[in-house]
Amino acid sequence: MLSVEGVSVRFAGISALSSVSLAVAAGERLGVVGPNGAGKTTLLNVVTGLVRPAAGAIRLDGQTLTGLPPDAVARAGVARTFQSARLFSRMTVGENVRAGRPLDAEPWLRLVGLLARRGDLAAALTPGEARRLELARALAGRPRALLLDEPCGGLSAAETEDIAALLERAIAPGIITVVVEHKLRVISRLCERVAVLHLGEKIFDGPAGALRADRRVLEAYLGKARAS
Amino acid sequence: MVDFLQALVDGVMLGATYSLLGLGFTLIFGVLRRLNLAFGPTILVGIYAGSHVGLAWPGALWAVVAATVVAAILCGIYVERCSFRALARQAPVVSMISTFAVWMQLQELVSLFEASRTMPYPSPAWLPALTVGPILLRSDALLMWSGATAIMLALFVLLYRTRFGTAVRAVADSSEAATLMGVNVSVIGAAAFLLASTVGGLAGVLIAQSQQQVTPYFGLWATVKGLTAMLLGGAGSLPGAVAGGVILGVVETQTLWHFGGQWRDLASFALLFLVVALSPRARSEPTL
Amino acid sequence: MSDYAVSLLVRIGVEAFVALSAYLLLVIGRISFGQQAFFVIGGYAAGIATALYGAPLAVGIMVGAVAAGVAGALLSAVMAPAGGIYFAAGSLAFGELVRVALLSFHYQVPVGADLTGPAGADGFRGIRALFTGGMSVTTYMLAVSGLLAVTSVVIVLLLSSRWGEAMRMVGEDETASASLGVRVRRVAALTMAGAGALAGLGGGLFVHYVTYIEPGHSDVMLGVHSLAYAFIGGLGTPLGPIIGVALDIGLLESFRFLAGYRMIVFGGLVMGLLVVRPRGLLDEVAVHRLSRLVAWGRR
Repeated sequence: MLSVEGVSVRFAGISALSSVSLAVAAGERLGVVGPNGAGKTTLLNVVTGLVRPAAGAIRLDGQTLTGLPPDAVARAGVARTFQSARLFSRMTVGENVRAGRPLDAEPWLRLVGLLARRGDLAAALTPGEARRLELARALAGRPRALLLDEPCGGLSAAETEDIAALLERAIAPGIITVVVEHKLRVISRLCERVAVLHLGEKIFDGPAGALRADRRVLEAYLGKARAS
Repeated sequence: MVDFLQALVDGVMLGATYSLLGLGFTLIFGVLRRLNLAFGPTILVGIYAGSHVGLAWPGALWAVVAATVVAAILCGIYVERCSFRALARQAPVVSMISTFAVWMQLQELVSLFEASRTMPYPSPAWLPALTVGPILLRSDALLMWSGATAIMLALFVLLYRTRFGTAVRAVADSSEAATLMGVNVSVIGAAAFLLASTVGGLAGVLIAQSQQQVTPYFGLWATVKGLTAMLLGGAGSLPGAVAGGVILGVVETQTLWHFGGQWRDLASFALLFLVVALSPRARSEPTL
Repeated sequence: MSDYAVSLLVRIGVEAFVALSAYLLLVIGRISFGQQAFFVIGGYAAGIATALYGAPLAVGIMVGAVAAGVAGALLSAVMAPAGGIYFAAGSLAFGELVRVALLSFHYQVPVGADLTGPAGADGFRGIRALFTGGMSVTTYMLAVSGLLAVTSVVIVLLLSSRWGEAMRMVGEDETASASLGVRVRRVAALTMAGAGALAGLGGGLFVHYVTYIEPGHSDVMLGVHSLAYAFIGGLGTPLGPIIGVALDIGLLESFRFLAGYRMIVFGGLVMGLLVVRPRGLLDEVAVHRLSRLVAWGRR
């Protein structure tokens, strides 16, 4: 269980997150959506330790993660991907998956369909392949919690379909998964539950199906006049 | 108490020249987001040029000043073309690497052009010294300080009261936004370089006339002082560079007063260390 | 082999160690303008060990390397978190700090009839362990070259190990590395210690060859040159900086008329190369292609 309890983050006087609380159980997949600037990436950053919260706590299976540096959070079993795939372009595909860890890259490369590219430099990959590599790298560490930041961002419809299908089959059961995404179709395919952030606040937390009917969500995306 | 005040006044006056050096670094770093490590050496070339002119035409102080500033500007143009414009599409750190190659070149250039290593630099003979109460203001320090302050005032008028200056500050703030507002970023970049070279050359004039000599070590010396002033004030902030220079000057003269000459340089290095070790921005700086 | 050729090879060897020292830090993405400080610390420590305390030559040189390594570790306590221009500025300041501090470093001990030891600005003379030990200069040159070869192999092995992977990850993207569990601070600290030891090794080898050392040897141009060697030769392999050294010193020797213009020419070469190959001749892409060729050739 990954729990975010009353977390607030402030940047230069602006409240990026205001007392946000979430809980994701093992094996559960939570989608996080919201208009731009809602605080979705900040949420991931604060869970992974890149940003310190002004208030609140983050816990993973009872272990407190708040205040830990990012490398300690990673070693505690939290893996993440980034909005634009942050690969090590000067290292090979195989080396990227291993990322300095004592593991065999092969099964993970096979899982994402990049085994043939094992010896290539990561710089040579297409954007779609880069996303798959980043996913393999995150999964290879056998994390307890997987945080995905817009895994389908910037991809064509066909590539999005591929990634979504890959995510469906590649994420092992039992892993806590949080998916931040703009593309609602991907969210509804992957996640049973969705949380909506708007201007740093959580305005909805419930089944994915109930999303489109919620008044606050409609107001956030469309503006008050159009929502009514 | 009087001694403390004297050291304080000396420190502020010395600090004004450090502020100029810091401003030179900041103008380029703030606008172009790249560190120009050849800045100190370009001033070095300038003051050696001025020294040569001073020996060839004794008494022609304006020629010396002109030679110093023009030489510094010419070197600045060279650096801008070869290390910045030619590498504009590479990562910012590549420009910094190129500038230290220019540093190598300029250092050798200086050693090729004079017979002896330390050369004299003329200074005006007719300056008065001032006494304000118990505090003595030496004539050369007074010239350094008033010259530096005048240049800084002119610079701030330029940057905060003219359209050109606003464009420069806009690019320093966000080059993307500035482009959207119709600002030609590369022209502003070149102009910022010109400005920095001029400020640097004038700083060189003021420092050299105060020390009355120039040595090849000046390139490194100016680099350390300028970088300390810039980083003390928060890299990229112009008022910060001014404050940083003054703080550095005060720390140096207080150290000189209380602990002696040997410790003065160590104090300035220690100050730079402190900034590097403690500044939160040091952690977020991107690496290669 | 002529005396001149021998001295040339020793010079290349010594400078190569300092270049490798700068290279190691470049692998983790840090540009250091201060490796000359470790060179000098190693030289002074090695000289003190052999000239003041009668240590054998090899032991003295090791002492130099260890002392410089410790200095690197201590410095990392202050500098490890810094990157980019802050690290560059701080390392520059450290190089000068060491030079200025050594100007006041007096430590003289009676050895035989005279006082020997660091004498502040006058430096430290009379480090004769190489010449009183009976080793020929040619043998010394071979030892230096052998040491350099072994060091290069060790670095190659290091960089392809898991530890090396972590170093290269830090060098490219610290945030991503941290999010994968890499202890970035520790990697930086260990690399700084190792880099310091390498430069100190060069210093110890140097000091016994020329029999003296002075504060002025902590010269920023040595640090700048070490970086330039890595950027010309290439950042993809430790062979890169060594090639850079050979190129520079070889340049001076092949074209005598360039004697007074060497830094201008070499600097110009670096500037020109940066436009097309910002990571040097043997950059990671080139090394990758070469290794692919070798693998293909073996089939």
